[in-house]
Amino acid sequence: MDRSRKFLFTGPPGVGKTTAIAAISDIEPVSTEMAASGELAERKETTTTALDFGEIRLADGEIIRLYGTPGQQRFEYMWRLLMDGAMGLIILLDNSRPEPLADLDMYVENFSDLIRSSGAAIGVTRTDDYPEPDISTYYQRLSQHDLMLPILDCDVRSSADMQLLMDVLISTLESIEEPDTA
Amino acid sequence: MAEAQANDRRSLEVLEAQFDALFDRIPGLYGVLFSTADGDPVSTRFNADDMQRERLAAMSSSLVALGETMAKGAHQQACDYVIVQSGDGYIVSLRIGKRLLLSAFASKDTNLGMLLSSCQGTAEAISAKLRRREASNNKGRTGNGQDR
Repeated sequence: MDRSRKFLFTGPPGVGKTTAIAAISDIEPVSTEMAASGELAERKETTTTALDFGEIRLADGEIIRLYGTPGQQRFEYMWRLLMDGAMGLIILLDNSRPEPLADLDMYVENFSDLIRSSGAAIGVTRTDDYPEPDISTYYQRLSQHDLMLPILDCDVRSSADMQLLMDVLISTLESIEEPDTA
Repeated sequence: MAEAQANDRRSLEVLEAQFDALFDRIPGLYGVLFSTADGDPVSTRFNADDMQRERLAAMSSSLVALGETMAKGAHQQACDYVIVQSGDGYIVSLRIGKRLLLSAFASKDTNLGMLLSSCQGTAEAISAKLRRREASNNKGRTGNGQDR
């Protein structure tokens, strides 16, 4: 019996998906970094172009497999490949980017099948320096997609923050699996 | 800005000067793609109209990144090429220095050894030319600075 579950991390380039997976992985994470070009190169030296991979090994023997996607939309084929078999999605958004709500729209639309068939949680980064849009604005935007998903402020470098985001996602999925029948 | 655009244009000329040589040297070659390491197309010559340069450039980046990661994970030396072999032919992707990639698309009657050696030679030649150009630009900037 397969004692593993697969979760996917996505979000715009530079949001910190590789860092987030490294923060909670129990193994040395696998990354596929290449030199960044264009405007992105002004913010960071490298970017993921295939996938990130890490694992969380639980005490009961279950393994949580963590996959990170490339951020740029030109890697949409990798998104499709990586979504296969995933049981949940974490979308990381960066409040310092020019249009974080448009980023939300883009990832929600592209990962719609996974979100609606399993579930998702959203982490918003760099909110200390860039408080807008606030969390309630993100909830309003999600409602336009007819979605209600948990949204948290987070620091991708913090294993506690990333673990909390994972716990929130897993709790959400369990709620969906075991609906209250009362 | 103008200087950067001129440098980009000259770099593009360095790349595109290799198209004819590659097509002349490799019978069966039907496409050459130069792209950034992170998957943006820079220049292409395809003999088929329906090849999607954006998708192929991104896929080249993913393949080379995975090849390098896999070689490292298997305790092998740096990945020289990624080769895709199908019933219809070959695709070879490799680095040109740190920031560029070369991908070549060839039919099944192509000699794979010839394809690999030509791509490798081309990548090395381009890399050397771009290095020389960069060194020359840096020298020019330093010289200008001293003049001021």
